[in-house]
Amino acid sequence: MRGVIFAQTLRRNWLQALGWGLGIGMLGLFILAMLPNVEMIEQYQRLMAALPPAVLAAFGMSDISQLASAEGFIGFAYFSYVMMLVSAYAVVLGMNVTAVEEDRGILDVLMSAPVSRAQLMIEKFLAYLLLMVITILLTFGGFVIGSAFSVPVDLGLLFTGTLNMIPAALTVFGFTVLMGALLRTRTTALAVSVGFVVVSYFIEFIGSAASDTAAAALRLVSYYNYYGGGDYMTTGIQWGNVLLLIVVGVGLFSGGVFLFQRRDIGL
Amino acid sequence: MANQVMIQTENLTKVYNGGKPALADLNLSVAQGEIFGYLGPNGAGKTTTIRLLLDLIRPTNGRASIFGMDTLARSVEIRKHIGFLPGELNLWDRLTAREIINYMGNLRGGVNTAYVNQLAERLNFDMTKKMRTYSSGNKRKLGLILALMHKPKLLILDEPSSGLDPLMQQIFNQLMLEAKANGQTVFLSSHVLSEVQAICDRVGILRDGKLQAVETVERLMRVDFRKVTIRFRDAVTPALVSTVPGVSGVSAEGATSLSLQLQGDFDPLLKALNGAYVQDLHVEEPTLEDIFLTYYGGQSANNHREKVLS
Repeated sequence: MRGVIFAQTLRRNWLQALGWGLGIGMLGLFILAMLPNVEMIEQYQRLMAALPPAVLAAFGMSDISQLASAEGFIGFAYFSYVMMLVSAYAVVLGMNVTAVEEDRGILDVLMSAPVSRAQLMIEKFLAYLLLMVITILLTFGGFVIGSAFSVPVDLGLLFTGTLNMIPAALTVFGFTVLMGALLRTRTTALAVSVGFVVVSYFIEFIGSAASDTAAAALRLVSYYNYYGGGDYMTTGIQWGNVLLLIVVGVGLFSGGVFLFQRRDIGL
Repeated sequence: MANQVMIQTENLTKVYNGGKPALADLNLSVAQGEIFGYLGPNGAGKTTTIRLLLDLIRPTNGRASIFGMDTLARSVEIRKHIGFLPGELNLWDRLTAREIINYMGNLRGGVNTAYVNQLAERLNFDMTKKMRTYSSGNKRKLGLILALMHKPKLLILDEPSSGLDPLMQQIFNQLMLEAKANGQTVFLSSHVLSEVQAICDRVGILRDGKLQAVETVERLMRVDFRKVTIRFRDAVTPALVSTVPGVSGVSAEGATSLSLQLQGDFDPLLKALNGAYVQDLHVEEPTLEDIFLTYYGGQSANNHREKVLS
């Protein structure tokens, strides 16, 4: 029956989503709590300005003037790095679409019900995507609470930054689903997906620091490049990149469905 | 309708990673309302056959149909009417059996809660516990409820009685016979020969991915050899009877007992015992296990059939 897998997936995983959302949100709260006054931010900006541009770029800082505001500081200290955690969560969810249940032999029973492989994957994908969006939105709660204790911050801008994480997370999610469908062992799929996240991260920051190296050219295949970290503070949301990440994420997932329908299960 | 073919395979073959076939050219037909036993040791290809029928894996060659529908093309439609019990039941550890049953029931639709409760009661199964707390026997019971709860036309059961205690084994046998009486078809793999002997109408014997024979249990049991155990007062050696026509497999059980297989009449054996003091003579009909072992004795299936079956 349609919708049963979707509902069951939500029911079984909402608590985990809550945990991730609140956990990451605590980081936002912590960052804001570290910003007791504007003077401290200015001191930090002066400190960072003393560093060579390449080192700053390696830390994901393309424009030092960003640090002059609380939002800019958060963009640098939070959004550039918290994407790693959100990506880790996306990998966990992607593994749950087929890889985990296939590895445990649960799919044998599930697929004895009148459910097509595509239906199974689509319902799970939609449920986990919803959980991922909710989790990311929950992280914003940390800013809301933290803003009560910090210097004044533009919550609208921080909310935009929070939403900006969703397309990149979708790409990682789609990639992990594809790996779960392509590679038959859970550990291999997990290792490749984690590798994708870590390598993307390093390509982006090494490429940023050394613009005349191969790493700079490889930035084209790093989803971090299209995510942009805290850059949206100065450049605004790059809708082209957002659209690209969404298309790639959905495309990778579709590739996973295609492959999973054509292979043996549970071997 | 009584003889409608429920499962049909034509040269069904599965080769994993280009190696030796796990299943080779399987041609099999199972009719509506029968209980079909699929026998073979581990690695014979039983589970591979079941996974092919369920479209969990895809054939390398050949095809299979269930209810007259191709298992590849119309897999979802077929699975509406199938109840499946895997050889090893793995489900969500953190869910209770009741939650799992509700989930699978909702997925299938049309499951009668009263019938589920009745099955749980008959199997003496507590549905309130979490999956991870169940013993292997209880997991088996849950698997049986999941397979039976929607009263499917076809039950496909992989080693169903493994882990069940003797009392539950009896209840399982009753459930299978009731399913048969209701017109349901049962395809079960097993190496528990007593189970097959008790409930199956026909048996397929599989070895090294090849179907060795398909016979009715009745016909398999109608063989012309018997197991004979003779206890003497004095010490004897197997040479006493090993040359008797119709006698084979003579072995000594201690100094004063011989066991053997006898084909044909008793008279030559009794004459050979002339002069020896016989304290006891025990004659047994062969079990399916004996027949099973005979099939695996190293000769071809046809030779065995000629030799063993009347």
